[in-house]
Amino acid sequence: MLIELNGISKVYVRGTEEVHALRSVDLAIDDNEYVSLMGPSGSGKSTLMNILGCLDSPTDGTYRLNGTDVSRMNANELAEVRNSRVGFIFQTFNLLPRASALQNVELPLIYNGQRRKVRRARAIQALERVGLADRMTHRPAELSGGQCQRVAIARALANGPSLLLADEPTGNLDSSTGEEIMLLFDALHEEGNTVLLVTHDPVIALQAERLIRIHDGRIASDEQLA
Amino acid sequence: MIFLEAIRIALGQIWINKLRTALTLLGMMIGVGAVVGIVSIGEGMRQFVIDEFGKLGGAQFVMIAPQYMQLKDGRWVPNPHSKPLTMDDLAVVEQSSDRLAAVLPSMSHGANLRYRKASYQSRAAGTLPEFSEVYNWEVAEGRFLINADLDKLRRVCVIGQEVREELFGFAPFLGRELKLNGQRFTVVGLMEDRQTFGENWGDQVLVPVTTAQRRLAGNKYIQAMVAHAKEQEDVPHITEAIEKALKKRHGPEASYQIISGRSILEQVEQTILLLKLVVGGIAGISLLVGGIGIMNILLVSVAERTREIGIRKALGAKPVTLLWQFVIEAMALSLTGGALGVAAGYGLGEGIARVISHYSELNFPSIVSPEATLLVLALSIAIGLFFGIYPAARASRLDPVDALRSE
Repeated sequence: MLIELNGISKVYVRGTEEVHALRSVDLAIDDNEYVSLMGPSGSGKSTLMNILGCLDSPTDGTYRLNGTDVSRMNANELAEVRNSRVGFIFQTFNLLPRASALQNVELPLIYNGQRRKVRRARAIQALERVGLADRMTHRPAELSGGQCQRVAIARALANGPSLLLADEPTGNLDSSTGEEIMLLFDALHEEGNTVLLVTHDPVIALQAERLIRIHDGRIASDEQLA
Repeated sequence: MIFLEAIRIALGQIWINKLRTALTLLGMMIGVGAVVGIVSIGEGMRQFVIDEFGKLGGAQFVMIAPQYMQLKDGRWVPNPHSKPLTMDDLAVVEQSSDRLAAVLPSMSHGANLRYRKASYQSRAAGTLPEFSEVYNWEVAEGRFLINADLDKLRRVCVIGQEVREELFGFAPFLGRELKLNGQRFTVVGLMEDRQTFGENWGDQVLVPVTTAQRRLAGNKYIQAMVAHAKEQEDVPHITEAIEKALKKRHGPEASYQIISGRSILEQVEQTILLLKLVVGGIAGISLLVGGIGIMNILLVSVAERTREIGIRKALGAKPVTLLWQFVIEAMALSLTGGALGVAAGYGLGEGIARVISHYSELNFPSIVSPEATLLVLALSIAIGLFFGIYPAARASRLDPVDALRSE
């Protein structure tokens, strides 16, 4: 099992008020699954995604990723897990504006301590995989939205992560570009990657093989799609 | 690897925000420049004093003069036990220690010089043949005073360059008779050109001390004497021996002023050190201001790059990696500012030294030692580290979720 959540809760303190973003969530995701996570804003889906991506720690419960308990890890250990196990893809791409496509993709490899030669080769490989071999020296401002998202996907793939975590990956793209990106995710899944899409768009969500709906910090439904 | 990357990012940031960087560097540069400039002038001053002192016989001399006045109940009153010095006293002092190289009398009298229609107000110094060697001041033409001149109380003199110019111009002077306070003296030599502490030695005439006593002073006294030690280390011992010898001869209540060049030099060095510390300390405050400037700009940088920090964290940058990234940025800034400051300070010191040299006609140096340069650069890095650590810690402690959410 790739992901095992047991009784995950997250409580924020906002002023004097306690906000229960997640209430005892249990969830299991296997290797090479293709999962959509849907829910309205404020449902707790962002919190769940942050915890799954090891950007945040749960208040209570255990989270095992690849069999390792990551729910009680410190900041340094979490950074290592994010670096080598998780590939993030954001709605707003989150590329470094002053770095070229290649440099952006090299970033997680640098934090992984890879030698210059190795990281260059792997970054080029990742960019070739997303079809941007001819745009490597371009900066984000010189690329279209779809191309930026491809660079971000290449960056997420660079360290060979266990989990691709995409947060509204088509939210900032027009529909045809969005479809292209979704085809890329389909292909990555075909190649053996585990993909988790966070979205509020039902059309996007239905492309996955499994759909999880979240509501008020609880899993409302969990169904396999045809 | 990550370290190199941090340096690359730091340099990139510095380059991207050129104007901001330049202004921050300016603060650092002024601080370091002021410190380096002031220290270089202080060091130059010290070297200048030591060099000029060397020409006066270095720190090896001890001056002995009668104590005419003494401090009593806070007022200077005539000293009843004061006794003038004679050539016999000089002989006693000479015998007081075997660590003495020479003891010279010191006599100076106002001298109205005349030659044909030219006249010149000079001073006549009564001295011994050893004078030339002790002060390393050579005769340019003719000869110096010899023992026979002293024994026979000859009315001969050796003149300085300025005296020659004023009295003789380009006319021959060796063997000519000039009038010194109305008395005929024969010129037997001309001294080399020489200056110390900007003072010209060439405006005097040197005469045998015995002749000076008889013809100029009209008594058997000498105003003071200067004893020269063979080694600087012997000075304290010699000072003691001289005092003892003089007390033995004139009685225990006899008091003399005995001042060593070493003690003067030590005082001068202390004064310059104090000056360097005080003014350098004030300049150091501007260094502090430069450091605060760096901290300020780094805080701005951290705030501006919150999202970037979030991205880097999401991609696996550890807190300590981000800490280093910003500390290195601060150190790169402060080191660059420090290096520019060293250059500016060097220029400042050189400029001030030139201005002083120009107006005082002294050869005044400005000295920046390699040790001082390295120290200042190390200090610059330390300032970067000190003022960079807080903004860097702030960056490294940012919560990745919050950082990613920021605009």
